[in-house]
Amino acid sequence: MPRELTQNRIQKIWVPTKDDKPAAPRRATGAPHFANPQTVIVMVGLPARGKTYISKKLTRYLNWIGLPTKVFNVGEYRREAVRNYSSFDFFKPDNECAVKIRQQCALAALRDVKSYLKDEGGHVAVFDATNTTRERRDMILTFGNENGFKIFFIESVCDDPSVIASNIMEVKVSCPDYRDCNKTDAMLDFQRRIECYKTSYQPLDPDRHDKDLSFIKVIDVGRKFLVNRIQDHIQSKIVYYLMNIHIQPRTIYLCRHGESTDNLEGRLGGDSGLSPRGKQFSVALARFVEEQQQQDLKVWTSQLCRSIQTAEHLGVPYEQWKALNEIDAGICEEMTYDEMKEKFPEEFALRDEDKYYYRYPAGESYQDLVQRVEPVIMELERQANVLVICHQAVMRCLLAYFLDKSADEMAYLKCPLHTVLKLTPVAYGCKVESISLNVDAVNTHRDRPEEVKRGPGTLIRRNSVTPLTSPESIIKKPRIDDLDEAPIQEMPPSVSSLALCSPSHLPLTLTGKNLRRSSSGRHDVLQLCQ
Amino acid sequence: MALTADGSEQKELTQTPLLKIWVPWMGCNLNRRRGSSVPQFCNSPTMIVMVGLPARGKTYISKKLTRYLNWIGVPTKMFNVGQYRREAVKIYKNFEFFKQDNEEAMNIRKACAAAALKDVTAYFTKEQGQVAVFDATNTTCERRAIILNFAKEKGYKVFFVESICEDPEIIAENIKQVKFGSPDYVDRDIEEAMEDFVQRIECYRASYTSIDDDKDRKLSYIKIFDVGSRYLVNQVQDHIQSRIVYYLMNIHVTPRSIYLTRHGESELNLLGRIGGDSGLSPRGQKYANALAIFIKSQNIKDLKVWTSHMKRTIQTAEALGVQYEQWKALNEIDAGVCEELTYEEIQRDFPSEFALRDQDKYRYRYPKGESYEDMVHRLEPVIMELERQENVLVICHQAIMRCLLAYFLDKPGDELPYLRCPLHTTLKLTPVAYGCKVEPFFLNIEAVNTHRERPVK
Repeated sequence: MPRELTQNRIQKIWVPTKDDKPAAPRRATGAPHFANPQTVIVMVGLPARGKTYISKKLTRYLNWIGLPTKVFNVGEYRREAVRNYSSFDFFKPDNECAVKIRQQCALAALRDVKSYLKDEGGHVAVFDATNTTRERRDMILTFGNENGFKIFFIESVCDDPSVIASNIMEVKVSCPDYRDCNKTDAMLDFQRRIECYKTSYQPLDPDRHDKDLSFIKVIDVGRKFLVNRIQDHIQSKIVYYLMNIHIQPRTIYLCRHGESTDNLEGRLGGDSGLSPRGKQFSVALARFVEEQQQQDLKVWTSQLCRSIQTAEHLGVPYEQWKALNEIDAGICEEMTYDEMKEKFPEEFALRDEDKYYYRYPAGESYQDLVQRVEPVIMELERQANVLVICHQAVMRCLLAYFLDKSADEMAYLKCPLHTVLKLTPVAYGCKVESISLNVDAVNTHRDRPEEVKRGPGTLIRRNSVTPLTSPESIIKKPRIDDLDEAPIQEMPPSVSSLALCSPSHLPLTLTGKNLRRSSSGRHDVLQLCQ
Repeated sequence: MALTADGSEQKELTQTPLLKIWVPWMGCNLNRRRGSSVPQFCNSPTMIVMVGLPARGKTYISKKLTRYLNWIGVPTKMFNVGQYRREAVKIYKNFEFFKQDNEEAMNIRKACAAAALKDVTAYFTKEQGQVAVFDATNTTCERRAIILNFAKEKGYKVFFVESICEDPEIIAENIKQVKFGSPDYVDRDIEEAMEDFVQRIECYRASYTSIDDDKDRKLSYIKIFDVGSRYLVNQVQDHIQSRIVYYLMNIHVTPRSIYLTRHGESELNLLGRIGGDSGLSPRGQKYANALAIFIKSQNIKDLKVWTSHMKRTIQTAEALGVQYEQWKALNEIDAGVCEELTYEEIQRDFPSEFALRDQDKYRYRYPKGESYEDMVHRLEPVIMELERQENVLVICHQAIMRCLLAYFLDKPGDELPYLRCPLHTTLKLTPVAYGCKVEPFFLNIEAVNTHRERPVK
């Protein structure tokens, strides 16, 4: 007898009746998860080769597409164990005491990897350390075998002195190890630290010793790649991602279309044109873009009228992406929230219960949007300067990717009309500047209702497409440890500088419902999360 | 009246009737597409140049890549120099033709390569081609230099794909699969053909120089080792090369079968209504059960089962009693305002839409809905994963199945929307040689016919 099917109420996914619990999200989601076995990504390379940069970026991407991923940085374990870093002597191969400590730190990190993957719902762990000797890598391979984890190596090889010097300046001289040094001393010490590793460095050998391992060698910051024995879907996606990212400085501008006539009436979705104020915004946007003087700026829009009308004012070529269309509100298209509440009260309540997973009947969810928008992210990674003129929900998805926001936060990010967000990659994160173009508009933001409880419990779902923030490591680490200026002191929550934070540093307690803009400091500050 | 940045009056937008794309009102230029349903990433035309000894899979890769690029909407054509040679030299005698010191033959071969390059230019300039796959051994630096100079003069990008393999089993298998049936060997017996072909390979080997990782560091290329066990990728220049690399890294040659079927007949099918999310009719349920029996009888190893998110495909899969994965990307085409209408109702309520659809069914987008072209883009990740997988059963819908079938059988946009995918019939696709064998299985459960023929002009 065939099992009866019912549609689970939040995700609108058809499930066999006996399995359905009213609001429990199902395993299956927008795209299958192919029962990916758990994977440990192992970074390999001399210091200052971009391993941590790659680790963090990859983790952010994997979390965003729904694979719970976490970085385990052995250097942080070392800083916990050895409170005060004295000098590069610590890293000398003959410093027996230090060698022991470093070994212990690696083992501690692996223990945490095991716990993350086996007990905490993790899917991918990124083991960020130099791992430059065969001995160390063999130990990790054994660990993987014992626990049934797949092992994938990412080796970064680079001998261009200017790239290395630049890396050291960006992220090393201001790290906690060098908090009491001046920049020149720090640079010198670090270079000698690198020398300590060089003698014992055994690169991955695809021809003989390591020919059966799965790995990618990234050579000279992505000029060349050597890819060996990709085993599965997730390794294939990782390789594709790594081959598309670059580190050239550039700027991404995100904004919504100008205010539309539907916006004025408080209606969702639809395909209306701009209101008079929306048109004013478009003119202001054109002026803004000109002032920014970006080289070769690409302009992308959705295929909805209001975003194209906005772009038309810029007088430059633009590309239309259907993938950037606003979330499909299905049967609720073109209703106001009040109408929706009146006609479909249960749907209205369900949406507030779990806005990320909630799919409009015959429409989409934020989770579906992430799937849909992924090719846009991939192309954004390839590009240089881009202006994306899109819509509220889509912009929230894109922003969540750049700022490493979890699924829980994504659906409530503030993306007001007539405001441009300027994103600039910096160090391990992304600087955000919010620029209001001073044209009034209605507010389309709905805050998270008070009654809806939040908490990690609802978010841990195995094998589901749930973006999680790259989690903080268990080791307490200094708030800002990798930017080229003095760490930011504890600030009152209302004026936290989002701009300089690498996303995982943002305190989770940061709340506040109002848009605050601070004119102090060099950066516009915007509180985006709730 | 709002003004644009340069002070002129702001142009109104209008939506093109077929594609439903918003464009500035340009009066009679309505047909000129400013935007398109997908961003155009190809600027300069690109030449993909194959490199490798005979029987290394160059033509296999060329054909497959060409099929994929055309399906995703990048006009691509293959130029196989061997075919030009067969045109020039009507009868192939033996491997001596390929000897290094055979001057007369060398001249013919050079001329063939030059003729092929000329056709490449014609394809780009006169036929709006975007990618040309130049399928030949291209095993010498000299030949590759000629191609690079040619491309530089014309402003074409060049991307090399080198296939390197020394596994004798794989090579023997390749020769068996595609060489014995080639026009060169059609009258020989197998042993003779094998012997001759092996000698042919040796003719190339002496002068073969692989792309050099040091000297050729400025070139854009991918080297494929041992049918995909390893890849070396250098200087990927742009989006299309990145997509090509991703595709090449996901395909494999392990034998397997893909089964495509629609859901069992649905309640809305019985009423002649399109779209919607109804359940199976009694006959549909019978089909689901018959499908379960059929699949069991096929004795398929490690079969993966995929469905859409729509009730009718999931109900069909449920009858199989195995695990299945739901893909939203496999959902039926969104008919927008026409959802759940019958064709008669559409013709009555939206006569111009109805007519437009018959005019260009592939590009036609339902108001607030999708087109076949949109669906191809949404299906691309499905195709990519199908390439990675082995045995898969895909339970989907009419328009979706047409898109997938068009990919496997290399059908152009013009034919795609009219491919026959009747209810209660499973298609078994098995890759063979350069193409795909199709076996239809009608499981003997009656169903309504949902196929509309191309209207006669």
